[in-house]
Amino acid sequence: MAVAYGSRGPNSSGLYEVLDLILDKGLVIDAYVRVSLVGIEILTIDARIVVASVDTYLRFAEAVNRLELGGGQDQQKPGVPELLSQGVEGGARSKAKGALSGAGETISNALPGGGDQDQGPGLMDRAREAIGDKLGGGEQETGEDAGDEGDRQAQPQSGQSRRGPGPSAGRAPREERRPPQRRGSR
Amino acid sequence: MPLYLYGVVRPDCALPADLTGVGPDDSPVRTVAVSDGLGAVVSELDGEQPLEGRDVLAHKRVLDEVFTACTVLPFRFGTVAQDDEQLQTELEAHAGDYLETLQMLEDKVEVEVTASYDEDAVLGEILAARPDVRELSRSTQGAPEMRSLVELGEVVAEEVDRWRDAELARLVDRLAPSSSGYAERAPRQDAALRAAFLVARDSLPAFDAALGDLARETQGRYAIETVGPLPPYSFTGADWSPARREE
Repeated sequence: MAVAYGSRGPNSSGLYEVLDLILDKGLVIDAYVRVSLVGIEILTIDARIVVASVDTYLRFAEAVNRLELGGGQDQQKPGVPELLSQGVEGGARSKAKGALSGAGETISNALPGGGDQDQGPGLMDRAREAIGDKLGGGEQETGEDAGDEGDRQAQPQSGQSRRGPGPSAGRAPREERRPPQRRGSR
Repeated sequence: MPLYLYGVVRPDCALPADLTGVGPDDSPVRTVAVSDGLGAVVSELDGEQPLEGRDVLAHKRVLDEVFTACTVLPFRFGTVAQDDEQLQTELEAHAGDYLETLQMLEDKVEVEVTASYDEDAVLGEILAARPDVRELSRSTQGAPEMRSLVELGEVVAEEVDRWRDAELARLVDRLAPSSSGYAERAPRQDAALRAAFLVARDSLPAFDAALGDLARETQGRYAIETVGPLPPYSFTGADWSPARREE
């Protein structure tokens, strides 16, 4: 509560806080997400797969064993403000910033020198490589016409229902356009 | 000229005159009236130009401005119509849906709530409640095999998921009287939960008060952070749940 709670203003949202909202949420109509944003998409996927990975299992196992060995809950624990300054502010935030600037580098690396160049398969290949590296390969969209104006939506598996490759002029129906249906509460 | 799309609005949505948009050309952002009762906030974008990281910032900046002036259904970043006609056709084809959603979102904002927990405390609770997990933990001490460590971690991770669901339900319950709906969001840490809430502007003080009460009651068990008010990014589609109100 001592942290950011209550410090709300019109400008209290930094880019990082809303990055995945901007990239994952919102209306989609006939559209394409430029391939040059692949770096940023990867970043949001990184944020999403924090849980349920083997790394996480091992980390939990380690933490539980430490607690069990050290007498469990009786041991002195750092207070929440300290945890936050270490964990949330120091850890997650700075890590996030690092990843964000990393994404920026990915973008500038992936981009050809100027906007006037044709972005052919080279760019697409590099983008796919980047996604493949991040996701362990084999999960990227197969593009049959990678040179198509350089405007393809490279499609990392994100668990989100995202419309398929989008640069065609044709309009396909999409499922996210409907207004919210009142669903049963969980 | 292709049009970069920021959001669906009512056609009388007035914007600051000097607002510039996505792309390298500093194209002016404007509201186009599309049909009866519907408009879109757009800027022209050369279709050959790749978008860059700074364009994400521009997208956000424009929506922040639009959002202070009008009710807006934000488009996802990177949404481009080939031309005016295509935009018009799209909006007219689904005008009823868009109008209904605009009306539903009138005077409402999105607020993101993240609750961060002391992970050791959470794990301690799990250990206390599950003798089998304690047993499993003891059996992996000494010279543990990778497989048994993963097994232990997996059991704990399931418990953490269950714990998170229960905590989220509690958060949602407590905020239901002052909010209109919520959407669960992926947390950035294991010991955290995150949800987007749809809140009427005039319910924001009550929403803040409910969060403050919750934080006080739990005596620092977790720390609450909020981000917002934001444009209703998470509430333009069907993937959210309405708040349960007392009948």
